[in-house]
Amino acid sequence: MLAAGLVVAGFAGPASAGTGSSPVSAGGVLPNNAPSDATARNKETQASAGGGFSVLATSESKRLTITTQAQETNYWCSPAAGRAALSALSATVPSQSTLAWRMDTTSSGTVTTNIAPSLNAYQSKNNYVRSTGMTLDNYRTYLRAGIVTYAAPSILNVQMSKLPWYSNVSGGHSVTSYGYATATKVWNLDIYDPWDNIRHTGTASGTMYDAAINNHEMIW
Amino acid sequence: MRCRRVISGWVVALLALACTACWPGDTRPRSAVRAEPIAGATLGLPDFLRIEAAVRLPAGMWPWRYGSRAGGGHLAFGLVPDGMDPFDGEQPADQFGRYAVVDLKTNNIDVRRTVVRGASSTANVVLDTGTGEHLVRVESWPEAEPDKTCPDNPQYCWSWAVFARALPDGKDVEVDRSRAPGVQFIVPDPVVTADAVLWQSISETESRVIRWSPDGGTTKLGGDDLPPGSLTAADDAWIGSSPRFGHQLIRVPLDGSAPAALNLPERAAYAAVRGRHFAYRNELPESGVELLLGDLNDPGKAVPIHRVTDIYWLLWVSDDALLIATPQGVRLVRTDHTWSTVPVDNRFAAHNDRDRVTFLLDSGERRTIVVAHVEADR
Repeated sequence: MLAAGLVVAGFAGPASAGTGSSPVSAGGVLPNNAPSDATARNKETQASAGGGFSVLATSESKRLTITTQAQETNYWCSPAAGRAALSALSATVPSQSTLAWRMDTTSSGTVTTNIAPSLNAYQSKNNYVRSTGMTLDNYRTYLRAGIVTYAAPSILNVQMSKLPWYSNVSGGHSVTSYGYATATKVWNLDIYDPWDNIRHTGTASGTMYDAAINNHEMIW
Repeated sequence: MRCRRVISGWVVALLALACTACWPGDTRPRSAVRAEPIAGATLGLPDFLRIEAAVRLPAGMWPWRYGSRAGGGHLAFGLVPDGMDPFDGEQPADQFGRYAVVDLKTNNIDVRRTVVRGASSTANVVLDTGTGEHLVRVESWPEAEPDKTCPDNPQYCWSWAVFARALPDGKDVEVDRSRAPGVQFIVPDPVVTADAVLWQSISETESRVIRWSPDGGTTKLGGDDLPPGSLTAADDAWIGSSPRFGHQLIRVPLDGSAPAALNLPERAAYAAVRGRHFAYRNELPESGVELLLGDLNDPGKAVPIHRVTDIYWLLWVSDDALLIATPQGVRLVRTDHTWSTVPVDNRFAAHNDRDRVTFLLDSGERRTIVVAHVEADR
């Protein structure tokens, strides 16, 4: 079932209640300005190969400055998470309602393939792409690349019941990853959750990876 | 295998015997499934946690992630449907949910079905009045025809109800119900006082506090437009408003007089009261959070007593100690600023009712539920 707002992935119909996170169907029709699969692959390859990136140090961290705003409706988690991400890239950010319109968000949530092109419509510093099917190492690599190289927060689409700050919540959800910190045996993320309107710093990346829906989907 | 209702005489006795190894989904006959008591073991827990009871559940009997709660001589919890994950699973809409009540004297487990088909039993508290024990439960379920019931928002079309009954054999009586369907996880989370159970009769945008007692039934406290949040009970009821609805600690007097609000800092959350103390999570400007402790008589002088990267929930467990869940695990934080690690699984909710904290140990094939209290002199 869906909950605090979101996430139907890859298909435009309403998710059925009681099914948990919706399975991804890559067959969704992408908007005209969506990044192509090739664009996403190029970005993934570049990040994975470390092209232009520094080798991961034993201990490092970076946190982007974001402006937050609780999601204004039950189903606007993607617009609210996206708005927080855009705030790191532009001084002027669209309203949640504008982003909801751009993302074709309905009361059933947001088709996750709509998120990246919608974010790209309001800034040009980072070409957001949607990636799925990655290993934990790649998940971390892309999140780090988004923050370090592009100064762009990522959108993580997750199952709420697997987020440690909820015990009685379920459904698909979008949150914003705006920082990270590593140390020996530590790889943590800073997460803004637009449902509880709280910044959760120091969240284990493995926890977010396990909570990710649609085959470890992220928008980065 | 499901036990059936039976109609008379010796058939009852025979069927009851036949059901000793099953979990009946109906209210009768009673199950004879037993929990295995664990005596004399520390279970790896620190010595400041004094174990009052620990039971190992039968293989395959999994509580929901909502956790378990104890009161008097019983503990209660909702049951995950067979084969489902307590974190991923959802109650099938065409089947009754189940919940369990463990008698801590006999270790018998009474498994019953929910009143509403398709409902999960998300909160189960036990009130011990000294003369009897009562179970108060919350069920929530998706409406069967959301397109008709919630045409504007069929995706969020859930209802809830609160039921009360005497233990061990009373019949469920509905004592509260959602005013309109809404988001599935906006449901009451009752707390226990010495003689009553309190909960927020809650919707997406507002709540009212309900008090229920076996003798007095339900009464409404405060107004109809209190913000949703976390409810704690001390001499009065207190709501720590959800950060979605502001940053306040609201006193709701049990005598029915008007509520009063205390404004907290802009980044405050999870405020909870114990005696004259209140505690809350406060985000730091750069990174991390701190646990602040305040005195209700001088609330402007709250002081940090612990700093950590995040706090997922906090729970008063004695007059001078709280449990908090952090990315680094569960910790006991004392009001004197000292703290200790508590090796329990923070993926399951922990609960306290009148100084007893109940939590689950993730022990592989068979879940263990522990009822404990914090030793005051540690």
